[in-house]
Amino acid sequence: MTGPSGPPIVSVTGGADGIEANYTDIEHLASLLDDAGDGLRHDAWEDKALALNGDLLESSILSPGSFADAEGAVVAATIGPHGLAFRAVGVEADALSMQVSVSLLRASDDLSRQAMEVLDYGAGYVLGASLPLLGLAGLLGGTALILSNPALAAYLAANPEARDALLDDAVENLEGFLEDHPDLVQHLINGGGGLIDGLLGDLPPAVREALLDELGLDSFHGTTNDAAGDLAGLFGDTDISVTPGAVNPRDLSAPGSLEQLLDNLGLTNTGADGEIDIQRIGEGDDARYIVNLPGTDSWGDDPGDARDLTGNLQLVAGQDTAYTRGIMEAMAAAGIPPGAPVMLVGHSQGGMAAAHLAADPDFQSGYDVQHVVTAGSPTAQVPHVPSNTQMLSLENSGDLVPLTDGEDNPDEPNRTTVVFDGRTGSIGENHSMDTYSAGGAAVDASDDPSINHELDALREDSFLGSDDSTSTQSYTIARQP
Amino acid sequence: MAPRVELSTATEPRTGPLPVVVRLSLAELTVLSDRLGGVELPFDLPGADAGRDSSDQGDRLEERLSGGAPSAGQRARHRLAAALAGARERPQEVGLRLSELGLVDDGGAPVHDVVAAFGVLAGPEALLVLDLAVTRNAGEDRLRSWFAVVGSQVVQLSTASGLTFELAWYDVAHLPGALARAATVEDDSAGPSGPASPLALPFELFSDGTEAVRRGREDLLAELVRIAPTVTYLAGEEVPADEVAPLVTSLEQASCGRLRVLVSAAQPDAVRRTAGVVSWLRVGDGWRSLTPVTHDGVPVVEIAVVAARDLARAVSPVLAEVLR
Repeated sequence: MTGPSGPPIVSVTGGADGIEANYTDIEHLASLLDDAGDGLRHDAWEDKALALNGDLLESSILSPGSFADAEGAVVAATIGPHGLAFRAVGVEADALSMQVSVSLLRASDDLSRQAMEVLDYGAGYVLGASLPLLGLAGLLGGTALILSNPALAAYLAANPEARDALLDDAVENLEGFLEDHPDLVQHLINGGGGLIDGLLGDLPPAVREALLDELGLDSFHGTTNDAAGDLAGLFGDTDISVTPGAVNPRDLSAPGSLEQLLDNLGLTNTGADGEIDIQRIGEGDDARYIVNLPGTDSWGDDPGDARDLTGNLQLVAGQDTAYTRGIMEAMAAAGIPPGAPVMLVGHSQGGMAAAHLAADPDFQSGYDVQHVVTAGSPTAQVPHVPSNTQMLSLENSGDLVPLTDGEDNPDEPNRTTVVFDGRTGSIGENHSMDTYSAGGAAVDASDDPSINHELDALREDSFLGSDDSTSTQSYTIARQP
Repeated sequence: MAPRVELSTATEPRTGPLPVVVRLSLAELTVLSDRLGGVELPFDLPGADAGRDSSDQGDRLEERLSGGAPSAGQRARHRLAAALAGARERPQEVGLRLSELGLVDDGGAPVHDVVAAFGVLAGPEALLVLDLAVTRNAGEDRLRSWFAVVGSQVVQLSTASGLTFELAWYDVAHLPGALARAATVEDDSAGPSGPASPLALPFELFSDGTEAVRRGREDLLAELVRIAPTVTYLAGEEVPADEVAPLVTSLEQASCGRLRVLVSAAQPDAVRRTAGVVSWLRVGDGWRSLTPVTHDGVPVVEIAVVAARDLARAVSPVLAEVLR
């Protein structure tokens, strides 16, 4: 729709009704409150001085009782527990809280803006290159040709497929490069000293700060208040809903091997956002339950409550307890009897949730948590898993998520970590269920004693290789707006 | 001891490639970027006329206000102009060192790995941005490090001054060590060590209480503690109300820096895009993790002692939430 005097207005940012204007209003109000608090305190001490007024003091001789009453009233009204001075502290504390709140909102907005910039950068949107793809596959074979064509180099930076192909080649060539230039090789792990001290140079801090500012880097300061600004937008714990059923119901077969167990998890993973599966194997008192927990995808997403300033951005801190609560609720809804044998199987964040549940005494008191299998999940943040639970963690050495460095997972005899080499050209594939199913096959084929012990226990507890009947219930966990 | 088994699905055993680490000046980085067709770097490279407008009105005003001595901003612009002039007016000279380092071939063209490294930097699948600021010897030092990842390859670019950079590329297996190195701060002049750990502080006290101490308004702390929405715990024990204010004071007085890792991954089809945040506080000569949690609907900050080597362990769960 076009208005009488030009094109339609679709967006207005800032101005008299903008957020920044409101922030300024709040700061102004806080300043007034702070001044009022100062005034109250000043008045309190001024009024208290009345008690020392000569006329009043002289009256004490004539009327000691009324003097005491008058003095008491003045003290109560000024520096007593409900007096002006007390109220002044309350008002000033309120003023401080308002000022801090505005600074936190500003910091939170700033962090969201930076996060959006980083996300856009990662998506390659910044480059905006749109060169034709013609003949690229043929060109990639010749590095010299790439290098003689700067536009092509820029194009590679903006195009994941081409870049991946180049990277594959680069990885193969890396070792040769290292042999030619051993001086450039350093051991980062356990290396002496920190990175910052080697890069400071001899410029004063103020000049360095100005230089970083000239390069467009956002200011970053080390105060506690700045740290609070980072945290302000991260308290995202929400209510959840758990509903039975799946968009496309699944009937999982009893797994005969670890690979099949992970294939089943992969099937759960193909479900709609927020879906988990609870598979019962066996009947009656012999029943045991496998709970399949995929990564959370974008479960329960509701962009409707996102702030306008940040669009559809969600900031997270790796502490999503809502998913864990939803799993507990789903298990209760599935009617798993108290003390029943349970195995939790999780990928990515699902494995994190499984490890957290296994470490939770309340959860352990409700079920006999015999096994946990995680795939591509960080589990090192869980310091202790009870000895009645065996935990098997699969990590692809090329997967960014578990960030394994060989000594990361806590040292407990009931926790076995298997690292396999299933590298592909992309982060997503390195972290995918298909890759972890292949890792499961490698585990099945292994003759390592620790692995054999784990697989034997899974079979003895009839979670693997059972001929018993099986049924699958699905639940959908969603965030409540 | 926890069993750990390494398997390989590769047809041939892999040798673990070691990190390549090279120190570059801004001029050298600029020349490499230019020779790759102006490939994007994760910061703004000022235009060719940068620094040459230093005689503009703003600078003249700054000069008068500072009594004739160049301000920090002027000095920064002069240094930047000199670096860029070196890159744009004497590229062959700058290129000589690049050649010595093996980063360009005899013809001056960046070698294959450098092309790949810049490609990863310009278009990563996942990107970690680490910022660190620490006050030492009355001045604040700062570090910015980008960790760009494609597949299992990491390219890290770092600077603390804007003039000197470290470019590194390595396998993802080395990322925990690289994160630990970035979080390592040497400080012989560290002050008090702050309160015991772990400390669970209502967020309002963490934000408002420490700010009151910073402003010298400890007199407001008792009121802030009184109106705080929940209680404080130290090492799992509830802290009596009259002992909370000294804890807040101790925390703020020992605080001397922080770090933050912004975690992101390409999520082209997501309904809602997700970025992760890891936030640590420098207290005395060590780090404290800051974990935002909710107790009965009330926001609480859990503050726990951590070491630099724990940074990967802190980043990893965030990555699991962000990668979709």
